[in-house]
Amino acid sequence: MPDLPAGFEDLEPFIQWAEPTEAGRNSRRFSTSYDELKAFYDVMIKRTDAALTHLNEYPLDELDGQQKNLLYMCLSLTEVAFAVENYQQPDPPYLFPIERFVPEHDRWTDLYKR
Amino acid sequence: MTQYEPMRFHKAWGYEPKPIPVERYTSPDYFLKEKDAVFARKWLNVGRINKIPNKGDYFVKDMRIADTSLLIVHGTDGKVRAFHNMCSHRANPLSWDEEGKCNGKKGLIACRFHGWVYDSTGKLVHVSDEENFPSVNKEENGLTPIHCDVWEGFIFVNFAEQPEETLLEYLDPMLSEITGYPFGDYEHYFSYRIDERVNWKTLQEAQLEGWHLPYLHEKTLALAVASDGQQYRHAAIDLFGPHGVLGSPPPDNFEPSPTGQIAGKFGTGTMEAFGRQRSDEDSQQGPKWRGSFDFYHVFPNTFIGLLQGTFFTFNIWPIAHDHSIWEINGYYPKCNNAGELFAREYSKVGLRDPMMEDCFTHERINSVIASGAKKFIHFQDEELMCRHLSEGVDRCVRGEM
Repeated sequence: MPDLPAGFEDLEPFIQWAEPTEAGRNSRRFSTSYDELKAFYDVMIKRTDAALTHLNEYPLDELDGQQKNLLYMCLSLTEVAFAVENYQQPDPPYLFPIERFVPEHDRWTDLYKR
Repeated sequence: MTQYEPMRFHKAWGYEPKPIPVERYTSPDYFLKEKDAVFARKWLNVGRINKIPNKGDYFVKDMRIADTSLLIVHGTDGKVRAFHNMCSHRANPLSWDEEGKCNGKKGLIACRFHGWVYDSTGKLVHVSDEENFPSVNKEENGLTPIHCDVWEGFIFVNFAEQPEETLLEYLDPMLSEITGYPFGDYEHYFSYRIDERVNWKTLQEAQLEGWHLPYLHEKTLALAVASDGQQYRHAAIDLFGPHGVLGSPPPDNFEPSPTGQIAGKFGTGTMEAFGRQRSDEDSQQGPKWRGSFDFYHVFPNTFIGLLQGTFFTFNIWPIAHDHSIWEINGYYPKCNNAGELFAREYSKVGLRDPMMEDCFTHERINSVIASGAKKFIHFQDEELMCRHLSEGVDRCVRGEM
């Protein structure tokens, strides 16, 4: 069983970015080398439009496992985008420690609201 | 290039440009005075109704500043009430969970220690082994209430025995400015909690002025605000009693990043909302807008930030003179699909990273300010709201407000 929906096989090498929580996504962002971040960014910046267009055809709370993986990879782009487009580095020196910036919403059971 | 008259806001609001004594940030004695003169008297926002949307829902709010914890209950009668989260038997906190739901149609909540039961209006309805408590009158031993009122879904409490003003009187000068923003249509999307070694006023000061944006946030928010050379000029600063609002000036041209453009195609992003020019249409309905981003401060410790398509709140809770909790909550319109979720997430991260830059300064300042090397700090004209908070607190401490 592939990890991603048909048509998105090219993203399989980056499947480790299918992180369901913000803490998971940003700890990966802050601990990955800039070259690896940039490789993920370069692929996702070209593919996110198509991915979201595909996912938008389905109700958000009915996405299957493959579609959720694709969504989580798109959400990882939001983290990596700031590293690449704004800071040009994975771990800017003058930021408060991310692990002390506690995302309480990661504990919410619903994916996107309460 | 617009010319700004020096000290325009100080002149407009009648403030002298006096240095601020550092003692207000470093003195444990001054902090104790703030506790009594501010936090024991003023209306305090403890969250939004989104946390307890249904009758019988409750949440617990730890209130170190009042040496207690509160139980905020959406009663089965529809009314929102606040109580000390404390059983009348032996003071055990009634709820040990951060949130929950009263049981059954009657909306009951039982103490886990010995089973005393209260209803959602705070009434004591069951005393376990009652015949062995001859001195306990149930009528007199309900939960201890705190004054509580709700405005536009914002839940406020007041610890005074008899508040000097009603909530509406307290907020009144500012209410008409915000009324009309669709708060009730927005759902809770994010919530951060940061435990920091910093004075509660220092923590708020970076949020009380936009002047630092081109400096501290040069790689993030600076791209979405206008600055004349390096100098940021607020679109407006207006004061309402102890409260106030900052208007953020949008840049002449805002070019979203590649990711921002994707977010903009599928939903609304924060950077885009910051960079947005106001239109005539905006002013015809809803709140009175001053800039692309209007940031309201509700004295003494709450912020409500309004943008097109999102609003967020800050609640800053003092623990000690050098220790505070920063709560950040974000709200968006109903999310319909993955594309909108992506735009929200980009918006959230775009707010979070600059706030991490703000946080970085807090503990740095705290690590040196107590040395006493500086007796005063200084606020310029664009930092008028910092002065207004500091002077407002000091007036309370001196018994003048």
